[in-house]
Amino acid sequence: MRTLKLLLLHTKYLCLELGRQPMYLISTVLFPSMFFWFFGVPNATDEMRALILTGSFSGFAILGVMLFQFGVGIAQEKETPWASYLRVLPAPSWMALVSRLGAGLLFALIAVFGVILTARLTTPLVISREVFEPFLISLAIGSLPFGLMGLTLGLACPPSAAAPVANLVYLPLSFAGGLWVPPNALPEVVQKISEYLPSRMFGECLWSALLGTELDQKYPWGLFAYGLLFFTIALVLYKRREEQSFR
Amino acid sequence: MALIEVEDLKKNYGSKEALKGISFSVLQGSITAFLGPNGAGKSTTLKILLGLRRPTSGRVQVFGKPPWSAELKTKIGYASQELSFPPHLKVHEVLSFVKNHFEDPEDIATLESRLQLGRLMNQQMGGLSGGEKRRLGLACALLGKPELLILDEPTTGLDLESRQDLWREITAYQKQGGTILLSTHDLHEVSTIAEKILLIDQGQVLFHGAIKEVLSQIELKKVTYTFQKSEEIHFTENSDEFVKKLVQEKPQFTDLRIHHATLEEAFLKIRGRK
Repeated sequence: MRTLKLLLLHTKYLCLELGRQPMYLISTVLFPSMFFWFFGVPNATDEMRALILTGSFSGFAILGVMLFQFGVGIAQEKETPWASYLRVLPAPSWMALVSRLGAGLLFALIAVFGVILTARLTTPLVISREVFEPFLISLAIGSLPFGLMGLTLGLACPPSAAAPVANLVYLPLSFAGGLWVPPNALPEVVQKISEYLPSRMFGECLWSALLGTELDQKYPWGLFAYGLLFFTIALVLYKRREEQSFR
Repeated sequence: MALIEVEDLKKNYGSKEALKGISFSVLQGSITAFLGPNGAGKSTTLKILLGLRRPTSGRVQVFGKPPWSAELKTKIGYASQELSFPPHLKVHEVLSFVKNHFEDPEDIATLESRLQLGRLMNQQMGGLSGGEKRRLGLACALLGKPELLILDEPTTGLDLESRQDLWREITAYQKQGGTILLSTHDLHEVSTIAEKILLIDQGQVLFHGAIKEVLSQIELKKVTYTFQKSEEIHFTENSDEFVKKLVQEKPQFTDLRIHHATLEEAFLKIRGRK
């Protein structure tokens, strides 16, 4: 109970800190909606396309938060005196990481609602109650492998390299995963690669949830496998960091 | 009773020996100053005592337990040498955040008044001066009503008045039964409040004992005189012998003065001798 209370405390103050940074809010919360406005709205000509594009840009929003807020945030904070100070306080050593994930999920949710609101106001989007719940569940569960990917990036990269590396991962993964343009509109070579990318797998889960169509089980299992892979790498990196930095 | 016991502590960073087998103890209710130049090993030792680094070898006990024991976190207050509070949080939020980690914390209003934080409470951290951040750092360290206070360079960047306030606060904390271990460069100020000092250089303890002992043990004197229009300075433990020699070798000298060496001068002498 005390641990949960502390986790909420850490998450609350991290949200306060992040929420007061205009540049953070623009890049994390507003950017996906703006991107949807520029590239999604012109193509969302009917209800089905609006649903697909809303799913795509929601996934894009999740990717951005997990890689930048979570991954880059960890990389930049891990060597600060504040991070050391947090370890001296009576709280578990993993608290800072998990609270950052919690804050990331909260801002990701706000970013997704921004995309949905933009879509509702500017496209023929209609999301029924029946599909909204599975869509949110797909978003929440599907965000975890990307959270672990962000954690891996944050632990592996030095503070100065984290943002460039995140960009190198974020943009190609979004494009090749079919989150900007539909997978069938991608160049042929990219289409072949796309099938194996976690962003495409995430997209397929979201599109299926929104359209109410049957989901090919290779996508959620593939996403699960990526989650497991990044969990293993992150665990190894975390243990190595604990041994190197705190030993 | 010793709150901190360190025996033959060694710490290597790769092939670099940061600590080469240091031993010391800190008694309950005392103020111990940890002195030494940059890179001497002060911060490494403090980090080991706080459980932020593990020793390569040696024995370290804080309150009779290894320093990384979770239960020690409620007993130790720490103010870091480097200041990096989240820049967009307000002072009262940082205090509230730290306070909520403790079951029986100090009253924020009391610390606010004692450390003159009142007018800063609604300011964001990014707008505070170095000295204001130091005062906040001390407030955070005191919030958990710790039995042991570890302060890393607490007066760096403070003006004279703020330094005096900080020393007064530290002394008041000790009078209430608290134990303090602080690292500093400020030999002069520390000599007025600390009972014991620990001189460390290049990962080795040069001296550990009462401040008075530093001076009495070596009986260092500072001899100054003018010879051929230039002022000469010498440190010696036997000023009579030195003056006899001076009369023989440089009879034309003028303006002979003999003083007790300051703590700083004694420290430099010890470093040179070792």
